[in-house]
Amino acid sequence: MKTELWSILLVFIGTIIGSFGALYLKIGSKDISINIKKLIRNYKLILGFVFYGISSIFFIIALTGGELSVLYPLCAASYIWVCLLSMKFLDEKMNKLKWLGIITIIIGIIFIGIGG
Amino acid sequence: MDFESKSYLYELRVLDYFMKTKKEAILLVLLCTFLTAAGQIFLKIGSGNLSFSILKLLGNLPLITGFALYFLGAVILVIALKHGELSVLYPIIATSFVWVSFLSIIFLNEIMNAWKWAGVITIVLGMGLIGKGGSLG
Repeated sequence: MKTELWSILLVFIGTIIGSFGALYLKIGSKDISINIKKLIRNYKLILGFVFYGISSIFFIIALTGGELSVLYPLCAASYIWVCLLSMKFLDEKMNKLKWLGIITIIIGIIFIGIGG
Repeated sequence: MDFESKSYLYELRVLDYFMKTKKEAILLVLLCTFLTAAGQIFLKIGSGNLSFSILKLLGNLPLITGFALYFLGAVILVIALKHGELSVLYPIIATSFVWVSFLSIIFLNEIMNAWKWAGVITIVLGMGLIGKGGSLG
């Protein structure tokens, strides 16, 4: 089975949406509580889960058009987006190792692309 | 002290008990990668029968199993990440890419070539670097 280009694009869009999910889960996790009522009213936490849900729908549809051994490694792109979003919205600091990691993941994704 | 904060403290103590040594956190994350990888295989199998009918989606057992395994893996990961060292746990999380590659060969009859393996290994390396960088703050 050859992996279609639209599958690859869907996975990438899914990873971007999923990264916003991680961002909102992180913001929402500040007000986490065991009280169910408070959990339900924690809109940021819920928004995080919704983003995750949407990204998984993108991924499932993408799976219909390609090999898992190609499409799953592409999910690593989400680590790139999460790093960038954390820097912009959570004031987390980047350092040389993190940048090196991002570049390495990009190279890995390119290898997967060639192999697929 | 009200009941809510008391139960919160209790939960923390239970977690501390499980996370006392790093070994337990590592085993939990490893378990999480197995569950996630197995979940991916089921999702891929289930995606072969995708349909717009909600009833058919709910009857798609591989798809439901895939989501359940994935969700279980995520819950275990959150517990482990809370108390484990990021630089140790991140590269272990990345091993899920290696397991998915093997499982794709065995259960989906997919073919891994040198480029795919090089990509998987490079991605694991990259996640290790991000984890190392994250522990530096």
